[in-house]
Amino acid sequence: MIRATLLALTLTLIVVAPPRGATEMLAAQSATTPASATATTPSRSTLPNEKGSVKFAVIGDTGTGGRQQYEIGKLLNAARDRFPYEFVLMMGDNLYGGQGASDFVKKFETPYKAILDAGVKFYATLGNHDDPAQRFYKLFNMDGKRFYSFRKGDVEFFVLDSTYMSPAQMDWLKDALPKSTAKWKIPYMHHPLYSSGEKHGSEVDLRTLVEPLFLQHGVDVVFAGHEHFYERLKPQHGIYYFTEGGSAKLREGNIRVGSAMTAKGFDTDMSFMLVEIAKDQMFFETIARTGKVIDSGVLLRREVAATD
Amino acid sequence: MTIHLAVARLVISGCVAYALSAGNAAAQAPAPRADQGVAARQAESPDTNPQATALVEFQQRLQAYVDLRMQLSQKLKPLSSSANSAELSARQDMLAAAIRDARKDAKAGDIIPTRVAGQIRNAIADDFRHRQPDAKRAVFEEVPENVRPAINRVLPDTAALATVPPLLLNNLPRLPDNLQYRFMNRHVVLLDGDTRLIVDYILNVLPPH
Repeated sequence: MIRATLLALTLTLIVVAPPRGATEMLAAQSATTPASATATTPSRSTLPNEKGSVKFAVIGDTGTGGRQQYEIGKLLNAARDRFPYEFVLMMGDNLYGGQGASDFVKKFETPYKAILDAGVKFYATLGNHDDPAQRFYKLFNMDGKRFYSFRKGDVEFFVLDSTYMSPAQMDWLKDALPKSTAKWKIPYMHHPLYSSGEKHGSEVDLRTLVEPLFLQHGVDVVFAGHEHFYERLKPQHGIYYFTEGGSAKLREGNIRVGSAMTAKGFDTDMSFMLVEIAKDQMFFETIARTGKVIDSGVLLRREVAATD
Repeated sequence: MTIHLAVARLVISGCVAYALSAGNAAAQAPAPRADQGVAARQAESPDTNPQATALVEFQQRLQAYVDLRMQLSQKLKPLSSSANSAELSARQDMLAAAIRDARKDAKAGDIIPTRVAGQIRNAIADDFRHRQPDAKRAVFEEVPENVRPAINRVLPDTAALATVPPLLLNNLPRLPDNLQYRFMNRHVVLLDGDTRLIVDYILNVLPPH
């Protein structure tokens, strides 16, 4: 069965070529590497830090309250000196275990205190370890909603609750995506539609439902968590998928070796992402707990890539 | 009087259409894709379509629960826009306590009628018949084991909320958005998403795993 699925995915990659320009425009600084690749330090940051661009960070599966979360929190804060991101996307599993008042403090407010104090907003999505009542927690900016959208400049984010993809949520997405006038439409959710993780893998049910909408309505990039590592996938039907679920927990060596889907995998340490969207380009850097950049690159919106 | 009757008919036909919009789960329902006219006739003759009647009853019971919850919630001090985590937790606990108190005599089946429970069982059985072994394993990945549901019990916050497959959710009768179907061991629970209270359940629905 696994072989059949892999074969099908491989065929998909061969047969359904991404729109012209999409692949070649991805100028990743790190070459495609197998899972568990050793981190390398780039000669310089690839983020242009342009005035007026949309700058944000991505963290996932954070809420342990453990040492590693605090270390990533420290790095995330330090990164603002060279890259003043305005907000942070949280990929879910915001609080593991207890969900009481002290848990919010220990597993969120304290590790990111300096960032919160600087006025940076966090936009959370719900993971399978999260109490749905987290949506009322002010600092998660969910406005009491399990699924919601928000816009920053040319970018509209669609935050989905993949732990419970109810028909009501699907109705909302079917309505909200086509209505969006943003150049960039970026959904994010806890469960990855595509993943090379041995523990969980791709969420096929979810993919069956939402991928046609993503394709139909010009989605270019999707972020997810759940898998406790970082993975950048080769474009799937022209869409770029990133999994960042290793910002506090690590499932070491869990990326399937030789997965045809992996463009870059990193499962030997915790990490977080910095992203900058400037006009039609999206720049990204993924940084390990050591402070080293383990992946970076730039990609172009499909619509633009196709007309080049 | 005529207007009242017409309004009542509209409401009933709307309820039936809404309930039937659950899709394939209406395997037991004779007219899963009924248009409003058909649905209205079914509502007028409940004896001829007991499944549709049960679905309407289910929606009414769900609505009654949501109304109760709203009433109790309004009695509590409203959350300020700057509420911190302590206020949020305290309010959630108070709401759960109030609901538990108001429903202290509630028992299994009070919200999910027997016929609807049967429909849910069939939909899940059908889903699992067609699901590949890997996908079945994935469903059970984080389902809490060795636990038996009880009305008014709070799902422990240390337990992960196992994801109910989205394609299956499409085939179950719709719920108001703050109520959710969740798996617990082999059982299906109807969970209040805001308080993590189990408001109803159906035993031994999932296949042994």
